[in-house]
Amino acid sequence: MAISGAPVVEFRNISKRFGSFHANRNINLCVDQGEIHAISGENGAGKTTLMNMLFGRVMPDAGSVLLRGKPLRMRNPRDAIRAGIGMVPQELLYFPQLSVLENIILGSEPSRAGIIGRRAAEKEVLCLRDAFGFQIDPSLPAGELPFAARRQVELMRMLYRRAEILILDEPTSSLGPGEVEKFLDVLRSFRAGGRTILFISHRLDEVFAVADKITVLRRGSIVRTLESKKTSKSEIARLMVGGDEISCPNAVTEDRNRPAAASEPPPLLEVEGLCVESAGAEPLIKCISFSIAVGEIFGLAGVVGNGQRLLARALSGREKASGGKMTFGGADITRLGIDARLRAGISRLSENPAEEALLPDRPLWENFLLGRQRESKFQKSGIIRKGEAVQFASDLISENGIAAQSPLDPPASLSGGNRQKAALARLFAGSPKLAILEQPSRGLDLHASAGMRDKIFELSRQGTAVIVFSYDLDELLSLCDRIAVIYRGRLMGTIERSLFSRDLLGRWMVGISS
Amino acid sequence: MMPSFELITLTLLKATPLLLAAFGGLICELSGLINFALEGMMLCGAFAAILGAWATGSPWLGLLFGIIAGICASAVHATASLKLGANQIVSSIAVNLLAAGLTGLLLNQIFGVYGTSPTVAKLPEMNALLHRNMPSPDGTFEGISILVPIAFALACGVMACLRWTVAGLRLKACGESPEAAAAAGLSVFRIRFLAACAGGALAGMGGAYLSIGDLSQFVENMTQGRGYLAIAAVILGRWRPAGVFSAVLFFGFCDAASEWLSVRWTAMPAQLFLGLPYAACFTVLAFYSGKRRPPSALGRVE
Repeated sequence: MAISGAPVVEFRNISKRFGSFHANRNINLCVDQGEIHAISGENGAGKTTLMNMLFGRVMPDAGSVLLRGKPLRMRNPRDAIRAGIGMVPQELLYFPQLSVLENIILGSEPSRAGIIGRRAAEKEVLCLRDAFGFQIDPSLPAGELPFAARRQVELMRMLYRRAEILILDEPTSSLGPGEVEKFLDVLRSFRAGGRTILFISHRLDEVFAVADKITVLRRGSIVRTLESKKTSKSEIARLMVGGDEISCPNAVTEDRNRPAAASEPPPLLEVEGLCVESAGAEPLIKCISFSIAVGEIFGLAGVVGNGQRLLARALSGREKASGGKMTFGGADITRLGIDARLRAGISRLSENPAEEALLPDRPLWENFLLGRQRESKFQKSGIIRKGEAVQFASDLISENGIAAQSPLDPPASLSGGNRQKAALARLFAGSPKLAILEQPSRGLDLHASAGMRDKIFELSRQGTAVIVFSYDLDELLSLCDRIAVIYRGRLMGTIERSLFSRDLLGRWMVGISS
Repeated sequence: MMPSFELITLTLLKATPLLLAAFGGLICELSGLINFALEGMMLCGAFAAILGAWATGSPWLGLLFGIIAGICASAVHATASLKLGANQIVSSIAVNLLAAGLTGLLLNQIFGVYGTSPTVAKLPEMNALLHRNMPSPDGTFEGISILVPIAFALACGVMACLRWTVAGLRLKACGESPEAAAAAGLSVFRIRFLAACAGGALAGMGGAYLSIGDLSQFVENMTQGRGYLAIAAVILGRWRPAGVFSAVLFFGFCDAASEWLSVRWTAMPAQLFLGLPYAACFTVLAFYSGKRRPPSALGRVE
């Protein structure tokens, strides 16, 4: 680890307020050259705001940012990029109809006399892609890629630009286990090359695997900066929540413990030979069959981009099945649309709530009302009862610990984790009979994801069947009664809780059947 | 001369102003700025070209005036929409109405006439250029303005720029996601403003073709909805240069066919044929739905 004299980045007395909300309070932080510096904290602790100020996306109200000892005057990201700073935001920004290649090279295109050197660009992008082992066709439009692959594109863009200081906001949240390892290796090689990395992650395993220093933020202020070698996960977790102990220690460690039923519970959802035509770059869903019992938690594991999103969409009625049959509580639902399935009790949390669940610029109460606007509690002969709806929203906000000032705030004003909480809260409040959850813990901190797990267990006790799609095998192992693995649009196999084997699941995930 | 050859020539003539305006609109819309103001830009271009040619005596300077007028009209639209946050469609309509009123007013104030301006020198025709020394043997290129090949060359140039150059890629990026473009370090406002100006220049040139390329005088509201037809061509071409090019040729052909038929088929009322391009436009737009979508962030300011 190379350490030179002056800190490469220094935050001096930084404060930032949004309305009456203190996102950052008097932050003082030094980051040394060639160091991987993790920023930890609960959802809404102000991590992203702080990083946005380094990238010129947000201006501080007070204080200054210093780069190699000199004050940085940044009005926009362009200034930051010129200063050698790059950022991969949590909410992806990309160009849907431009190709992956164009997405990556934009802003620093190899060119001669204004003409893009497409061949040189392609060579370099393919090089980067293979270094990671990503499987992305650079000529495809970025908007046709599955959500997780778009993040991979974003990472490649950052590496392509050779930024000296990298800001990564939850970069691994949609990578599979193998990919995370490769990604961490890349970070290490960056550090060896003298680059500085600021790394926001909720996964303490990763933080401890690569970070040299860890700074814990809480409610907009720095609690402490520690060297990762001289601290422990439990200490960091304790500092994050601010108490002497983690506020819900049981939930963090408690695994699925399903009471043995007297008799086999009846199947709720039966899927037989389901086939779905491909939408975009994902593989087709080919002849998938499984059944889920009342109150069961069913996990679907798999490496990014093997048809998870398409399957989830088909189950919720968002995508038409081209073959096969789906039965829900004895009734054939194969041809029903989303609305009819919602009314039958099937709810889905999309992998990308910003795109498919929340209206970013409408107030939270409207967002929570969506889907239940017909209930007589919330409307009278077609006129919305706003009072009821707002009350309902404030209840959900306080019950779920969503860091929002009021139910009149739009989701766009919340942090990524809080938006996820809001989307989950709405789904759970509807007491669905079947909940389809894609990456439910995405962006959630320890505390919130523990709450989410408790909620899932509670729903299951009440008879709700839950399907969890996740790239995080550990999450599924601790949560589910059964886990199936999807590989290239087919189910490789299903395994019961009592027989769970990381080894077998891992082999299925890469397509080795045995 | 073979009638089919005549029809082709006529198609090219009719397509030229549409081609210029449609590619102007295309550049602007690909950058994410809605441009319904092509009609107004063309009208400004047509009037300024006559004014320039009249004042200086040179049709080439008149063309320059027309281009500048198109840029000015476009700059008004871009400033109102991008800087002042006006609704882009309302701002477009305002430019169209302003252009119609302003050109009528200036026509009266400067030339002291109503409806039609005095005749000025028009741009040279191909015939004169190709057969400068000898008289044309067959009159093949008679009546084809020098602007026709220039317009087609410009359209090809725009296509190439959009496809192969850094500027083209950045312009499309602004139309796809202004937020992502800003995060990639681009100045979205500057790129969109320049795109609008380039679009205005082309549209102004399209207008100038009408007044000093085709005719040699300005007639009030002489664009006759061509600006709107150009917008239809952009939409019909699904915002792809090759698509827009084909759509323009299609409209040009319909326009040419209507004129060609009305001359030969005098038994039918001429108005019937005049409506042909618009009817064709309506039919195709109603029944054609392409797979490609408009620029993802069309009309969205950061």
